Amino acid sequence: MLRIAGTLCAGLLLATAVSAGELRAQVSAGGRPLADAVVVASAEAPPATTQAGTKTSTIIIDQVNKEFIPYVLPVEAGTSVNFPNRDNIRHHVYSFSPAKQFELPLYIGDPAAPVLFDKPGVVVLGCNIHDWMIAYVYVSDSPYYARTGADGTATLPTLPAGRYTVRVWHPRLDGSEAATAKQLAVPAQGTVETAWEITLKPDFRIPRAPIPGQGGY
Amino acid sequence: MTGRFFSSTWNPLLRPFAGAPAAGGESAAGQPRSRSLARAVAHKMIVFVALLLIVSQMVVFLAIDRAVSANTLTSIRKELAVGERIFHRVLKERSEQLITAARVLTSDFAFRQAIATADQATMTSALNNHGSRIGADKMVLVSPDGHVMAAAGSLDNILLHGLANNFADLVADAAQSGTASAIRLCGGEPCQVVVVPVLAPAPIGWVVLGFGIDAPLAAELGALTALDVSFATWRRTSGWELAASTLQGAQFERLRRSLGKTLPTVVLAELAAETAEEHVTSPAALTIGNDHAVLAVLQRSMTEALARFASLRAILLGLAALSLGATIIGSLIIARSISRPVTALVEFAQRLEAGQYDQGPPAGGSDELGQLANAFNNMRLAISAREQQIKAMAYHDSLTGLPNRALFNDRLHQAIGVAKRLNHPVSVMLIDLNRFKEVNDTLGHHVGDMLLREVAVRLRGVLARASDTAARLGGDEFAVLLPTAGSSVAEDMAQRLRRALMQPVVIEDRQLDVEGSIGVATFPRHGQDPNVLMSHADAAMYFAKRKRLPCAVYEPSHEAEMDGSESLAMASELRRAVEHDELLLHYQPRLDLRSGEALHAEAMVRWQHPQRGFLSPSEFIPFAERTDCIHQVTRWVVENAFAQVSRWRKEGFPVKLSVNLSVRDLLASDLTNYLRQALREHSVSARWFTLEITESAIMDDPEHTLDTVKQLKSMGFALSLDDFGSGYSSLAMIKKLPVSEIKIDQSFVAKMDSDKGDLAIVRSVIDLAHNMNLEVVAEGVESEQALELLQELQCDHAQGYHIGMPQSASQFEQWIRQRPAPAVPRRISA
Repeated sequence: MLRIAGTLCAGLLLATAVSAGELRAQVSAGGRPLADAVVVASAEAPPATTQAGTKTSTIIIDQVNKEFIPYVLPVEAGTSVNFPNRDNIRHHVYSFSPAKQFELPLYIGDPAAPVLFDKPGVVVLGCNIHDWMIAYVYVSDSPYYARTGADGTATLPTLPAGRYTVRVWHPRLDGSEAATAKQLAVPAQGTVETAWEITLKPDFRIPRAPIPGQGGY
Repeated sequence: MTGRFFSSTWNPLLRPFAGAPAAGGESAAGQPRSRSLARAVAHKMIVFVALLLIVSQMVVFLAIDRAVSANTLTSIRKELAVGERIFHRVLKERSEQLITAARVLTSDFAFRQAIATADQATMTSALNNHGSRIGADKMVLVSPDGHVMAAAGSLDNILLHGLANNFADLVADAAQSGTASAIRLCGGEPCQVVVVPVLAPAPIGWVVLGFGIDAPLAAELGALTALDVSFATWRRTSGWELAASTLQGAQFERLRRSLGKTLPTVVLAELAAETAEEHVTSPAALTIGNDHAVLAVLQRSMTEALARFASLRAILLGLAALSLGATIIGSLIIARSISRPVTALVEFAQRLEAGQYDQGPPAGGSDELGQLANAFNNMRLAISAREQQIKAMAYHDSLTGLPNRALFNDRLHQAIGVAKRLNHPVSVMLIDLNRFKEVNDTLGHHVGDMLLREVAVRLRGVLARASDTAARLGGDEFAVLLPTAGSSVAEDMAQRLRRALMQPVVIEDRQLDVEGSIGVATFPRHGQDPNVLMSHADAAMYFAKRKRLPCAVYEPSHEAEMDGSESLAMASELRRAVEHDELLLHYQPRLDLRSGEALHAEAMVRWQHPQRGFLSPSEFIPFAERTDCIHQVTRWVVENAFAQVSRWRKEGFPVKLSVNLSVRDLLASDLTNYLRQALREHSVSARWFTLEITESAIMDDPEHTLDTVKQLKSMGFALSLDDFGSGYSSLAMIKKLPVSEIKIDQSFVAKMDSDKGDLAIVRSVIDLAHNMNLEVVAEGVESEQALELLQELQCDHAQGYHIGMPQSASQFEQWIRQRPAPAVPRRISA
């Protein structure tokens, strides 16, 4: 998670150029802090499109020890994500999600090209070789989003002041994302805090293959 | 006499010998009886032992059978329990395998890709394709939110619509625990349903796969569990059905019937409680709901299990049969070893019964049967000895030691049998002693017995050949059988016998003259049959007796005179003759030798027989004397004689008549009364009549006759002793008798002029009579010389052909009238 801090900081630094407030969201499930939840804030008045074309293709989802890292990756629509393979075995990354369907057939090392996520939505990533490998790319139509850490807190540091619709999403969110929407006013200076208590669907993750190194199903 | 010869007065003791066929018949019937007796003992023994064995074998067999059955039931229940566990285990493993297979299926990239990205037609096609890979019958793809996205396999539309409901719980289950599996009813067919997610890699849907529970599965389960496996389904709408079963035919039908129409819970209880003869049943509910249910029915065939014991049962039965057979054979042998000697003894006893004494009983051992056999043998010897004695007694006359009538008849039968084969004659002689009765009566029975013994000795002495048999038939009657002699030889023999008998017999210092009348008959000339032969000999003998001949050979004329069958006819004829006046009286004049007058006659009865003509008294009086006819004849004679005298007296003839009375007349109690009455009726005097009685008449019952005679005398009748000298009259008897005259037997008178002896007798009798103050009448005067001689001897009266034949009343009258004057001068001149 620390590895993507740089990316976030870049976005935030741009925002601080104008007057901006900070949104701090606390997400919990069953009273416990929930990690890997994505908090998205959409401005009611569309912002100026000054930021378009500024996106870099440096965002990656690693495949390490037959796991995707990170598990949840929120990106703004139009972002390209690279899927470098750090394992010494091949992976076959795919997605059947309507937001982005793609397939990176068996490869080692860096694939030939990064994948562009241009439509907002949730893209579920899987590896055709290792069934348990799963990751979610949250393609956001808003540039303001953050992911909760282990403490369940996501911070959107430089939100231009204004009214926002704030939603939360999680891979196991029971119910629709829209149902979590809240209206918030973000001041020019200072921090707005909000919190969600959400219910989760059962964890439906496939266990890893019993003997590592032999591959999954 | 003749009638009694073969009157079959058999001695009962002789039956075994004489009646051999009858006795044989009895023993023939008795033989099987003895065998069946012995067999009955054997049978009883066998039946008892066999029954005992059968009962014990049955008890053992039933006990074993019951134990086997109970054991079988227990082991079947165990097998059933084991089978049940295996069944459930197999079902569980199967569901796991199906889940695994389904997961492999849903992991297929292409499948997931098709499901995730393609349209419904592609989804259906992929579902069908991949489901078929693992043999699923029904395949449904359900979206994570519970909508049916696609379906394939044997599903119709109605099902399709109901599917969501049908499997919603399963999908929810799978959402909780990753997978789900259950047995469900899909369109009436029982299915094993598994639900697995389609992961991409997050669930993008649920695949519901249905695997039919069908006959192959039932068969596989049946093979694994060694049970009969059936799957029954129930729907509230359509009731019970047997979806699949290893049962076949009747058993299948039986199970189906026993499902009935009741609710699943009831059926479960009923099936579990069912104690069928053929099956032990264990039902299990695979799924049970309000409107449907699937049951597994596990059954163990009882008959199949018991079939394992069938061979044991067969061995048991075989052993039972073997031991039963061995027992019966053994019992038979033992029973035979007892019954055989018993049978032999019984047969031996039957031989004794049949009179076969020659063979002893079967040799027995030293056991009880042996002792019994010894006792039987002693009995046999004793009986045999006694029978010899009885036989001797039965076949011989105890007085003379001669064969008796029975033995004589046997020998005669034999002799005629032999003669028929060898074609030679057989002669029989019958000998009757004359005047034996008088000997017996006057001298006593012991003298008579001694006389008979002497006669027997003489007969034996004359018979030379061993084959000739002399026998005493009874009383003074003897018979001689000459098995090879013809008539002439027999006649010779008869003469020799007569000579032998004529030798005086001296008994107790008395000299007795024995005379016999002999009748001879010869086979085959005089008869083919022993009975006929004997009766002919009898007739000849009587002829000889009547004619005072020593011997007569049979001629048919003899029989005409004295035939047994005729005598009865004669009795009735004689009675008729009396009633119809066929009799008539002839009068033979009697000459008074002193006065020359002939005014006395002897009334003699004649029979004017319608067929035979005139019959002289000798031809029917002896017969009448043997029957009661003599009374009627006598009365007829008396009536007519009295009437005649009455008539003559009225006419002036002073005639006197002699009338003959027989023994029987004298013995009749009412004789005197009758005569008295007759005298009155005819108004005649007793003094006009002389009653003639024979010596023998008095000798029969001297006491009574003497009394009667005295009464007659007192009535005024003159009495005459007829046939004097022919019998054994003692002078003492004559002295006692109130007779007034004696008639010398004509046999003396007839030969008086030629025989000195006879002359001496006649003279002596006349002298004797005169000395006793009796008059003498000589009968049988047939010549002038005789008459003159009698006159010389001073005989009082003479009677005979020379003087006058017996003649009718009118002839007699005429004879008297024509007679010259009394011939007294002749006497004087002589």
